[in-house]
Amino acid sequence: MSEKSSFKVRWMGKTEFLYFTHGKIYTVLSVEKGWYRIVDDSGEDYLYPPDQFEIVEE
Amino acid sequence: MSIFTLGDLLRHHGVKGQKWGVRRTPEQLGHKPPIKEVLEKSQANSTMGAEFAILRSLGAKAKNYMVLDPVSKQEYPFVEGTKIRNPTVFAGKGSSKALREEVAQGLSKQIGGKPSEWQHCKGIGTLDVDGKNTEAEIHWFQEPSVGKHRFKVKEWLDD
Repeated sequence: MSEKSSFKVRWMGKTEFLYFTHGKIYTVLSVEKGWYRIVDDSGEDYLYPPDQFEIVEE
Repeated sequence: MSIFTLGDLLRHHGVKGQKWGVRRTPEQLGHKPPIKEVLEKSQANSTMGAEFAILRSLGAKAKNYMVLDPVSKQEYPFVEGTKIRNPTVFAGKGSSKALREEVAQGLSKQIGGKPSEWQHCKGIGTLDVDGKNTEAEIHWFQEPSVGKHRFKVKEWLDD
């Protein structure tokens, strides 16, 4: 079950190596079971719970 | 009746090749290495490891088994007692695919261990997603001296 709508989010959590950088904007490739598929700082796409992302562009 | 004479005994000067003060290794003596050593070597060299459990506690001992670092306040809801099944190394030591240099160096700098010892692994685990047990392909990094880190969900395996 995946929604293919692409939108942008900002990571509001702390900067963590191979995860995300605080304040950086990422593209959500799809929403799968409510989780965001995002290419993180490792350069690969993974699924993340939406809790600490802020939607900046629908 | 003795078959040796005193002269025979006095002519014995030790074992051929033996050096005074130098002990032979367990391998030279034909002894088997301790089982712990065998297991550690086997796990370090294989690309397929044994399944392992996600610890129940979320305390210090368990934090390495969280999908996300607790510092970020994001915690992947592994179902208590779930086991990561079919763990496989797909990049890094013991694999035909190398870890990217900046990843290996970064992990070593941020977490510890040797860059050459880091492995990228995958397996299958069960997460609690909105109260429902959900199978997922999980990825993580590991290094023998510092353990497993940076768990991530790659795919949901349930429809």
